[in-house]
Amino acid sequence: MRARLLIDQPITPGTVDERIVVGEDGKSYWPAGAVLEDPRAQRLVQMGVAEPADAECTLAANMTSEQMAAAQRKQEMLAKGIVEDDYQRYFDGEMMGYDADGNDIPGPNWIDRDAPESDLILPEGFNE
Amino acid sequence: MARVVSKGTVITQDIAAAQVAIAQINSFSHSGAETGTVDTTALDSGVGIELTASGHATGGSFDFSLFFDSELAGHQSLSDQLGNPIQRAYGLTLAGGTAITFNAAGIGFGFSGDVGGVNTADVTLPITGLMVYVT
Repeated sequence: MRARLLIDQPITPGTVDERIVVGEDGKSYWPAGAVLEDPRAQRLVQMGVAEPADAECTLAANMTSEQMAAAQRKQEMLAKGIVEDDYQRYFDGEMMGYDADGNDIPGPNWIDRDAPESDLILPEGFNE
Repeated sequence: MARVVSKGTVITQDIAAAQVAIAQINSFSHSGAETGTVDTTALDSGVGIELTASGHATGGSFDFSLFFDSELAGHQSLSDQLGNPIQRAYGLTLAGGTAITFNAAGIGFGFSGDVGGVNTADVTLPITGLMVYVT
């Protein structure tokens, strides 16, 4: 049974495969697009990290495309340890995760909510 | 030096040689890891019990609890292992990115609920070898 990874996925230590890549964090990953063959490959689909790569996996996963999409959204945040209250901020690019103190790791659209109001850069035409 | 908060911790299980995060975990603990000793106290030893390092260490047990949802594939994958008891790899990524890995020789899995509460499951993973700690 085969499933195709949709996102880079950490390998299980000890796995040897020429497709494995080393990420910027020094950890080893299966790259997105890698097709993994395993009797439990449907679990990768159900948990939101892969899509079916053969009919057997499609049948075993037994999910609609909407269910798969929902599982994929959930797994992305789960893998980064994002708590539910921060899902929207993660989607909006405000934050990418948490540091060891539990503080946000700023994303590309970071908003410093503790900054004095006078420091905020308001959109053009913003009307108080 | 920092106090690493538990928020943001991710626990993963092996699926098809990939480490996939498990949802709805609310607590975790590792216990029982210790170096082995041999009691080498003899009848003619002094008062104090003498222990000698055996040269081995036990990895202990990694336990976690989760809000149990029998429809979640990640939870099903844990209970699946009761019917397919083989060694599996797990991972723990702490907030901030520190990763710890270990192999479990089996699994203990049970769930419970009570009036006014929600269903929870307790998972026990007997570690074979040692955790791969950050050194």
